[in-house]
Amino acid sequence: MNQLELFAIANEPPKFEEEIRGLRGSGDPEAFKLFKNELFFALLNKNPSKYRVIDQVIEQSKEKGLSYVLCKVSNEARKFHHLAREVGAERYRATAFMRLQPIEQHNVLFGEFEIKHQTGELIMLHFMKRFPRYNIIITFGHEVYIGRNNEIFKEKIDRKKVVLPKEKDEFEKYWLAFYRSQFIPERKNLRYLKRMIPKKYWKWVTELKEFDQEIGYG
Amino acid sequence: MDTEQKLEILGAAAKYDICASTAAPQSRPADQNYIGSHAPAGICHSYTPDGRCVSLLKVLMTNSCRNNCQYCVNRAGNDFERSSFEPEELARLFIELYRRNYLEGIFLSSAVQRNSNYTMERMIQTAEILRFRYRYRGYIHLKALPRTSPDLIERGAELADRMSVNLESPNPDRLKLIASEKNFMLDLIQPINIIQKQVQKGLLKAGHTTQFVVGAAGESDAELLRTTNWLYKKKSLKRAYFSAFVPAERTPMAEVKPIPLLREHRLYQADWLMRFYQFELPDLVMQKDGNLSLDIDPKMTAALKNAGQFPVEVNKAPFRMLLRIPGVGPTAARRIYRARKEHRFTNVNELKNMGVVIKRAKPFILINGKAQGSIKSIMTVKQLELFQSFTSQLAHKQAPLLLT
Repeated sequence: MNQLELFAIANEPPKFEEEIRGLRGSGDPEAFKLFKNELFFALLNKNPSKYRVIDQVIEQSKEKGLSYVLCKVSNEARKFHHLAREVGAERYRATAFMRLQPIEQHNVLFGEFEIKHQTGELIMLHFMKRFPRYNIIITFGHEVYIGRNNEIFKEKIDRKKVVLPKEKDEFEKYWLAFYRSQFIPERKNLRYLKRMIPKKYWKWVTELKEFDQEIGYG
Repeated sequence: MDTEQKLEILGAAAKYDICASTAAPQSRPADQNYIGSHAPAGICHSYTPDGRCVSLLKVLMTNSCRNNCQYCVNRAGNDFERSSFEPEELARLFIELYRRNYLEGIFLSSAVQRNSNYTMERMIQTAEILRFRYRYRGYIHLKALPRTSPDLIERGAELADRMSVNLESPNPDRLKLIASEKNFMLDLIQPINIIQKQVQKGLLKAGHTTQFVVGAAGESDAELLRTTNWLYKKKSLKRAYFSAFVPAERTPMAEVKPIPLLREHRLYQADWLMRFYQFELPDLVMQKDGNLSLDIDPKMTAALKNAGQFPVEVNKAPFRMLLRIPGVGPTAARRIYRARKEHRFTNVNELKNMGVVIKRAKPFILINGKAQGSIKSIMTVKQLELFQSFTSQLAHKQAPLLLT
């Protein structure tokens, strides 16, 4: 995916593209590339304060150089980095914790997840690259994304009208058997588990259900 | 025996193999019929209640073993239920779980049934089914069994992203105590040599690794780290894993005390210092018994021992010295090094923004010549005692500066 496509995902006017062109001379090409990447991710963040933070770091870059921002010297640069990181983390967790359900007759892999930021396309691209011979369908709240032949379509949906096959998947049973087999009781550390899978993602990782009470999520 | 039961038995038999990394560059060509991809930094799809990442289908091909290793639950002398996967069965099971996004890759390992080459052949068959029939392009970790013939290792290297040989012990004498049937050089180091050649040819993009059972043979941390360092330097090892010994039921070592997990943690910290912090083996401070301190982490211990080198001026210190400051990791060190080309640091808040753990770093740094804190404020009584024992041996004038 090139940077323009990323801009399209962020649904942003080319304002920032023009602004950061002015920075080109102030840093080395590698730093400029890194800055652009962070900027694109920050733009996908839903936090309304992103524009203020981005304006501030662009000003700081003009004044003190790109390294000053990329190395997070100032509070604003740290916030900017945090905006980008939140988006990256959401994309990562969706690709990690979302489970897919094969619907063989339509050659579909179907999944659902909740996202806060504009990460839908990035998540779709991950699965489309991983499973190119399948149609990928993922619902994020009231939007459905359909990935087919290297293209992504997006529609609003009425969740009540979505009907999915109800049969129990035998591989879920196998997964649970395998998951349980990996536990080493002598090393039990639920606090660490809780840190690695924050509460809001817990419901997607069904194998954790039996620890709900113990961890205090019950 | 059905698949679910096999997974329970052969999954549990493989759980002490702790490598869970799936980070690897994409190395196989793409077409429209493949399945699978690599995530450059790896992905953890779940975590066990002990906090370990579950990203690989980690099961043994079989738990029938001809060896009698003292610590191992699968040893031949044990009378318990044995089971095996057929290559076909395991490959299909993995692909179905992978399609559902439960897993990021497969870890093929096994006990030694009949002989190493027979078992290795079955593991390779599984990898071949995945690569050629299912056109799987994702991550495969293949264990090389002791005494495996070179041609099988070469075949395996064509299919896998990573291979590993578990040394279990740091040297031949220690190995004899827990696995008398294995010859350290012929059965374990020889396969590592062949694997190293494959890595040098450009295969096995995720490199090769090994694992030690910490404390099973009574070895010290110094012995483990010496061998690890040798493997990094001479055998191009990507990473060593340490697994604190936990006594398994029905083994001759069932009554032996388990090794504290903190010891394993300290070994990992020391290992990271050698891999990412430009520490050399002699820079690590060992106690008289050859072990790392359990009370203070190895980086802090090294800093205290070399108190004469601190505090350092963050605006001027060479990169190597930045890496030696407790509370400064490689990323923060790189940021400091890069940012100061265009900027002069004036306060600790700037360093905090960059990821420095200020509480730990303060006594060891100067900003524009100003000291930032005293070591007393960050240390426990025990740590302070150790520090004083180090400083009493030092004639260096700067050491007391840290205490003020």
